[in-house]
Amino acid sequence: MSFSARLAEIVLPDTDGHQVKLGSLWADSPAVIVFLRHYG
Amino acid sequence: MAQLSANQQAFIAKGARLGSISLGDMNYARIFREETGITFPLLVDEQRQAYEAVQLQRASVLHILRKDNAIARKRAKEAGHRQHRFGKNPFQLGGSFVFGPGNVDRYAHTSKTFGDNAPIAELLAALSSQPEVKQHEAAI
Repeated sequence: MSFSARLAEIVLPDTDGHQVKLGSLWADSPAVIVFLRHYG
Repeated sequence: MAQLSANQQAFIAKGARLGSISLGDMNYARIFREETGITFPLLVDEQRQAYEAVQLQRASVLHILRKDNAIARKRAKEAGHRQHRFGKNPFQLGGSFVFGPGNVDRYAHTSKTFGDNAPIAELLAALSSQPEVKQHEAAI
Protein backbone atom coordinates (compact mmCIF):
# COMPACT_ATOMS: atom_id res chain seq x y z
CA MET A 1 0.00 0.00 0.00
CA SER A 2 1.33 3.45 -0.89
CA PHE A 3 2.23 6.01 1.76
CA SER A 4 -0.55 8.28 0.54
CA ALA A 5 -3.11 5.49 0.79
CA ARG A 6 -2.02 4.77 4.36
CA LEU A 7 -2.45 8.44 5.27
CA ALA A 8 -5.54 9.29 3.24
CA GLU A 9 -8.17 8.41 5.85
CA ILE A 10 -6.39 9.93 8.84
CA VAL A 11 -8.03 13.08 10.20
CA LEU A 12 -5.95 15.67 12.09
CA PRO A 13 -6.80 19.11 13.52
CA ASP A 14 -5.30 22.29 12.10
CA THR A 15 -4.43 25.39 14.11
CA ASP A 16 -7.94 26.76 13.68
CA GLY A 17 -9.46 23.62 15.13
CA HIS A 18 -10.74 22.32 11.79
CA GLN A 19 -10.56 18.58 11.27
CA VAL A 20 -8.65 17.88 8.06
CA LYS A 21 -8.81 14.54 6.28
CA LEU A 22 -5.29 14.12 4.94
CA GLY A 23 -6.41 12.61 1.65
CA SER A 24 -8.34 15.78 0.91
CA LEU A 25 -5.04 17.64 0.53
CA TRP A 26 -4.08 15.69 -2.61
CA ALA A 27 -7.54 14.66 -3.86
CA ASP A 28 -7.60 17.15 -6.73
CA SER A 29 -4.00 18.24 -7.22
CA PRO A 30 -0.52 17.20 -6.07
CA ALA A 31 0.47 18.07 -2.53
CA VAL A 32 3.78 18.43 -0.76
CA ILE A 33 3.42 17.07 2.76
CA VAL A 34 6.20 17.68 5.25
CA PHE A 35 6.44 15.94 8.60
CA LEU A 36 8.34 18.02 11.13
CA ARG A 37 9.98 17.10 14.37
CA HIS A 38 8.05 19.90 16.05
CA TYR A 39 6.70 23.39 15.41
CA GLY A 40 9.20 25.98 16.57
CA MET B 1 10.27 24.24 7.18
CA ALA B 2 11.83 27.62 6.50
CA GLN B 3 12.88 26.43 3.05
CA LEU B 4 9.40 25.12 2.35
CA SER B 5 7.84 28.40 3.39
CA ALA B 6 10.37 30.44 1.40
CA ASN B 7 9.59 28.43 -1.72
CA GLN B 8 5.83 28.36 -1.20
CA GLN B 9 5.14 30.37 -4.36
CA ALA B 10 7.26 28.02 -6.47
CA PHE B 11 5.18 25.06 -5.28
CA ILE B 12 1.93 26.91 -5.87
CA ALA B 13 3.12 27.85 -9.38
CA LYS B 14 3.36 24.13 -10.10
CA GLY B 15 -0.22 23.63 -8.98
CA ALA B 16 0.63 21.98 -5.69
CA ARG B 17 -0.84 22.37 -2.24
CA LEU B 18 1.34 22.41 0.83
CA GLY B 19 0.70 20.88 4.21
CA SER B 20 2.76 20.18 7.29
CA ILE B 21 2.29 17.77 10.16
CA SER B 22 3.91 17.88 13.54
CA LEU B 23 3.50 16.25 16.89
CA GLY B 24 1.54 18.21 19.53
CA ASP B 25 1.00 20.56 21.10
CA MET B 26 -1.57 22.81 19.48
CA ASN B 27 -0.41 25.94 21.31
CA TYR B 28 3.09 25.55 19.84
CA ALA B 29 1.54 25.17 16.39
CA ARG B 30 -0.53 28.35 16.78
CA ILE B 31 2.44 30.35 18.04
CA PHE B 32 4.60 28.96 15.22
CA ARG B 33 2.04 30.04 12.63
CA GLU B 34 1.81 33.52 14.11
CA GLU B 35 5.59 33.89 14.22
CA THR B 36 6.21 32.61 10.70
CA GLY B 37 3.12 33.88 8.91
CA ILE B 38 2.72 30.51 7.21
CA THR B 39 -0.62 30.25 5.44
CA PHE B 40 -0.73 26.58 4.47
CA PRO B 41 -2.26 24.01 6.87
CA LEU B 42 -0.29 23.18 10.01
CA LEU B 43 -1.70 19.93 11.35
CA VAL B 44 -1.09 18.45 14.76
CA ASP B 45 -0.70 14.70 15.22
CA GLU B 46 -0.89 14.27 18.98
CA GLN B 47 -1.46 10.53 18.72
CA ARG B 48 1.42 10.07 16.26
CA GLN B 49 -0.88 8.09 13.95
CA ALA B 50 0.32 9.70 10.71
CA TYR B 51 3.98 9.29 11.70
CA GLU B 52 3.37 5.61 12.35
CA ALA B 53 1.45 5.18 9.11
CA VAL B 54 4.53 6.16 7.09
CA GLN B 55 6.95 4.58 9.58
CA LEU B 56 9.02 7.67 10.25
CA GLN B 57 12.05 6.89 12.35
CA ARG B 58 13.24 8.13 15.69
CA ALA B 59 16.79 9.17 16.34
CA SER B 60 18.83 8.16 19.35
CA VAL B 61 20.99 10.30 21.56
CA LEU B 62 23.96 9.14 19.48
CA HIS B 63 22.63 11.11 16.51
CA ILE B 64 23.40 14.33 18.38
CA LEU B 65 27.10 13.47 18.16
CA ARG B 66 27.10 12.72 14.45
CA LYS B 67 29.19 14.89 12.17
CA ASP B 68 26.33 15.40 9.71
CA ASN B 69 24.15 16.67 12.54
CA ALA B 70 26.80 19.20 13.55
CA ILE B 71 27.03 20.36 9.94
CA ALA B 72 23.24 20.71 9.71
CA ARG B 73 23.12 22.72 12.97
CA LYS B 74 25.88 25.01 11.72
CA ARG B 75 24.10 25.48 8.38
CA ALA B 76 20.82 26.33 10.11
CA LYS B 77 22.49 28.74 12.51
CA GLU B 78 24.26 30.52 9.65
CA ALA B 79 20.92 30.85 7.87
CA GLY B 80 19.50 32.56 10.93
CA HIS B 81 17.33 29.71 12.18
CA ARG B 82 17.09 28.93 15.84
CA GLN B 83 15.40 26.06 17.58
CA HIS B 84 13.06 27.50 20.19
CA ARG B 85 11.36 24.39 21.47
CA PHE B 86 12.09 20.70 21.60
CA GLY B 87 8.51 19.44 21.61
CA LYS B 88 7.11 16.31 23.15
CA ASN B 89 9.39 13.91 21.34
CA PRO B 90 12.71 15.56 20.46
CA PHE B 91 14.02 12.38 18.85
CA GLN B 92 11.21 12.03 16.32
CA LEU B 93 12.53 12.42 12.78
CA GLY B 94 10.60 13.91 9.91
CA GLY B 95 9.98 13.27 6.26
CA SER B 96 8.82 14.89 3.05
CA PHE B 97 6.41 13.50 0.50
CA VAL B 98 4.75 14.45 -2.75
CA PHE B 99 1.39 12.80 -3.28
CA GLY B 100 -0.99 13.01 -6.19
CA PRO B 101 -4.69 12.38 -6.84
CA GLY B 102 -5.66 8.74 -6.59
CA ASN B 103 -3.23 8.23 -3.69
CA VAL B 104 -0.20 8.17 -5.95
CA ASP B 105 3.19 8.59 -4.27
CA ARG B 106 5.44 10.79 -6.40
CA TYR B 107 8.27 11.28 -3.96
CA ALA B 108 9.22 10.07 -0.49
CA HIS B 109 12.06 11.09 1.74
CA THR B 110 12.26 9.87 5.32
CA SER B 111 14.89 11.57 7.46
CA LYS B 112 17.73 9.39 8.66
CA THR B 113 19.00 11.89 11.20
CA PHE B 114 18.50 15.50 12.34
CA GLY B 115 18.89 18.01 9.54
CA ASP B 116 18.39 15.38 6.84
CA ASN B 117 15.74 17.21 4.84
CA ALA B 118 14.53 16.64 1.32
CA PRO B 119 16.16 19.03 -1.16
CA ILE B 120 13.63 21.61 -2.38
CA ALA B 121 14.78 20.98 -5.96
CA GLU B 122 13.78 17.32 -5.67
CA LEU B 123 10.34 18.21 -4.31
CA LEU B 124 9.80 20.66 -7.16
CA ALA B 125 11.04 18.10 -9.69
CA ALA B 126 8.56 15.55 -8.36
CA LEU B 127 5.76 17.97 -9.16
CA SER B 128 6.92 18.19 -12.75
CA SER B 129 7.46 14.49 -13.29
CA GLN B 130 5.03 11.80 -14.27
CA PRO B 131 3.59 9.99 -11.26
CA GLU B 132 6.35 7.59 -10.30
CA VAL B 133 7.61 7.24 -6.77
CA LYS B 134 11.17 8.31 -6.11
CA GLN B 135 12.74 7.33 -2.84
CA HIS B 136 15.40 9.80 -1.82
CA GLU B 137 18.46 8.20 -0.26
CA ALA B 138 20.45 10.50 1.94
CA ALA B 139 24.20 10.47 1.37
CA ILE B 140 25.14 9.98 4.97
